[in-house]
Amino acid sequence: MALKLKLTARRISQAAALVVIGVGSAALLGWQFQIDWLKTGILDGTATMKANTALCFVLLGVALLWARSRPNRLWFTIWVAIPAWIALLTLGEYAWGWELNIDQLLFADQVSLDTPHPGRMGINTAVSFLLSSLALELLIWRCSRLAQALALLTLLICLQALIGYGFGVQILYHLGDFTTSMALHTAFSFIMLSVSILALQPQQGLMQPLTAPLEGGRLARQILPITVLFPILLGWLLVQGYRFDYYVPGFGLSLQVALSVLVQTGLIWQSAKWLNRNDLKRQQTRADLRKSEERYRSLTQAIASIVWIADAEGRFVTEQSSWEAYTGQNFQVHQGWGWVEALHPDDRQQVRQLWRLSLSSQQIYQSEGRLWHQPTGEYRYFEAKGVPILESDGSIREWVGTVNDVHDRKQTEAELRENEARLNSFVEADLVGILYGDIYRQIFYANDEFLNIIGYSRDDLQSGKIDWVMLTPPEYLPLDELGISEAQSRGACTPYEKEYIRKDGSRVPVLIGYRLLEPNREHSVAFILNLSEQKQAEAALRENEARFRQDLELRVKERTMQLEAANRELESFSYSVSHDLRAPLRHIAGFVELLQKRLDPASLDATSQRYLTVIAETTRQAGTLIDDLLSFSRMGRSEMRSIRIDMNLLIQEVQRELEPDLIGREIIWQIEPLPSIQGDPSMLRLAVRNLLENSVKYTRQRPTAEISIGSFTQEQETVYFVKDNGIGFNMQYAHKLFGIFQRLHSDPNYEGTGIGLANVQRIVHRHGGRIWAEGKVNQGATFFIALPKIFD
Amino acid sequence: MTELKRILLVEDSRNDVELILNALSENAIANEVVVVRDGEEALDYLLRRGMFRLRLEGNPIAILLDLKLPKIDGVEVLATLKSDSLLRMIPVIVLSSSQEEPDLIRCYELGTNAYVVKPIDFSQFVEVIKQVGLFWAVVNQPPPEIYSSAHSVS
Repeated sequence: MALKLKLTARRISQAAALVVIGVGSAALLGWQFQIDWLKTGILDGTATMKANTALCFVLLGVALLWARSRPNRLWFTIWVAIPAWIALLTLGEYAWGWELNIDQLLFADQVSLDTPHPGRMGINTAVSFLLSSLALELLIWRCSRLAQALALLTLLICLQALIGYGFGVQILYHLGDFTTSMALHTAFSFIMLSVSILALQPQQGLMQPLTAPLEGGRLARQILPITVLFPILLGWLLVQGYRFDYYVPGFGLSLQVALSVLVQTGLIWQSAKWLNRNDLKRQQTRADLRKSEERYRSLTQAIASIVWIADAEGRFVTEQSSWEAYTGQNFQVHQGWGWVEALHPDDRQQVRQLWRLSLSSQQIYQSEGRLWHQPTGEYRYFEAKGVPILESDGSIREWVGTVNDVHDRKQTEAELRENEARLNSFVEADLVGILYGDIYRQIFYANDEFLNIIGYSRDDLQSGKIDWVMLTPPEYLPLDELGISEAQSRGACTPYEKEYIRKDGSRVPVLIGYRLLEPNREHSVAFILNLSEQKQAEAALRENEARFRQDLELRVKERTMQLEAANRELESFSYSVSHDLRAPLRHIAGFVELLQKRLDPASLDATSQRYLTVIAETTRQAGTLIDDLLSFSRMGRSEMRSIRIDMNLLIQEVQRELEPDLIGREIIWQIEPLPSIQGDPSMLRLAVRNLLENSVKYTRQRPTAEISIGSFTQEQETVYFVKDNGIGFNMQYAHKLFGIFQRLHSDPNYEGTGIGLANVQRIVHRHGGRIWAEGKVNQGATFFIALPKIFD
Repeated sequence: MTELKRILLVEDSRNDVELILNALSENAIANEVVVVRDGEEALDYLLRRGMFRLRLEGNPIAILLDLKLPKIDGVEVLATLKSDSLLRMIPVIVLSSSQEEPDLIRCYELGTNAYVVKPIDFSQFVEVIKQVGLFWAVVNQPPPEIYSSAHSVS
């Protein structure tokens, strides 16, 4: 727009200059060939364009054309100075009456009504030339404003002359008798000259508001012709009216005023309307802009991305608030290329290169890397993108872009990749067979182990030759159906055992488990474990076990037989002892008795009598020994019963049994209430009896025997004890107390076979209990038996 | 009836025989005591065969049976007797040195009428024999003769 305007202006300037040159040259020709109308400009005029004037026009016209192509200032000044000096000298002639003979230097002229001085240009013409020359010189010196002011002044002067011609007002072009009139085409040429000057530098100085590519300029350009032409036209019409006496001057004036008011009001009204419309548009645009800006601002706040703006050289030149919030770099740090410092050191080089590449190629910028994130204090992965914003001439104004934090996504992706890799490594490790398939029959994928199990090649699988239904023996299909329906309701099936038919027709036992994939639960991922080895091992194990069991049974049988034989031997031994040993003893006893009866007691001396007594007594002792031994042996062999026994009653019964031995004895019994126990009644009775007999026996020498019976309970057992104040024993021999045939006393007062306590120990042991004794020589003994407690 | 009230004593030990006879006579039990020395003889006697095939008819009123006998032992004799439809009527008193439980159980299972352990002490022994003799030879009513003489026919 501005360019077009400039071109138009220059064209106008050029055309005007050519017109000026043309008019000047024509006038000169007129003088040369005495063509009057060329001298006067109009056919019936008298005022002529003087030769000097015509020359000056030509000079200035050329200067105008010259000025457009940056002329040498010195030559140009000299050139322009020529008309200036002509004008100045002419003015000098008028002012001081000098006769410089410059007026008719070129052509002779004659005195006329219009010219007191032949060949001399008028004062107004000289002033106009002076002003125009000065204006051109100033233009060259770039003092546009002043130059244009001078041109305008010239314009005004000459316009006045022109109007004078138009309106028929002589004073306007013929200032007085002392000066030459300005010819019509002189006035016209000056107007052209001024227009040319004004149009030469249209965008500078006073012309600038008019030519500005803005609303004001446009308005001015539209209104200006009307404001200039209308009064001239109006004035001319009114003057014509006067001339033909259509009306009196007052009427004309009032008409002019009214019309001027009308036209000016109209112009103002139009301008106001136009300005308002533009203003409205502007306000709307501003509102739109504000809205757009607000939108942009909230957008930058709303999106998590960093939004950045860089200049054409890739620098941050404004404060990047979202960048600062993310990286913690303030403007002082991130301005210019400082933002690179927020990148991970390893990424800086690459990002910088990519950025430079985009800057130079003007292509969209894209990069990724790690950016320091101040809030978490770590480098996070980002993706950056930037687009260039171009000026109308195609150059880059700035870059706008975003930086997106893709750290979480990257990490998720990495994890996903890792998971997938892990899964794949598992699948490819061929630890178990794995297949993807569907619930109908297809197998989409299988790993090597699965192929290995079924004995097919990968080519077989890929050519679609195999499906799992055909691999399954018919009797296993119902099992598969069951598994699939379980998996359809639960998502996965409970692994179960089945068989596959291998390529070679053999069968392979497997364990299979699968999961059906969402959303339809029609596709499955399954694992298949080869059970062949396991089955073989199981079979071998079973065989071994059977063999072992057989072996064991055999051995047990053998042992049992041996044991039974041993038992039989023992029994027959016991039997023999009871019969064969008892019989002779009985015989000795019997016959000694019979012998005693036969002998006359009177004839028997004391010694013989004693012998017989000893034989009888010894026999009896041997009998007791045998009986005790047999009872001991019986204790070890007999079946045990186990019932709850009231120990208080048991003690009472044993006491009653012992009564015959207690005749003549003074015994103080202290018997505490005793807890019950679980055991064999006859065995325990024997044990208690033995203990009590012992106590009674070994307190025989005490004037008053004291026997106390009590108990206490421990965690697992009940301990009963029998304590007496008898002759006691030496603890040194305590371990011998319970051995068979072991006796700690040789005193004939304490008869015994050495089997009683052994028997008690055997009974206690058979009940899972313990027995022990404490004592001191002559200070009594305490016997403890501990039996498993009854837990109610 | 002349031969009635005999007691059959099955005992291999002479000493025992003497002691038992002594104890019986001392207690004035005058029944005739037939002594056989082993199980075979005992069965021969009861079934009137072998050396006893010519003996007079009639069964003893009681049999005193030792368990440990040569050839056929007491338990076998007892088993044979108690499985015979006629001989089973005769009361059998086992006289044994053994008080072993298996012996007792075995004998009672086979149907012995009494089991007496021979005490070692002579006075006790005499007392036991006296009581046995009195009970079985005097107090106890034996089965009718008609049944006990059935074998005489064969």
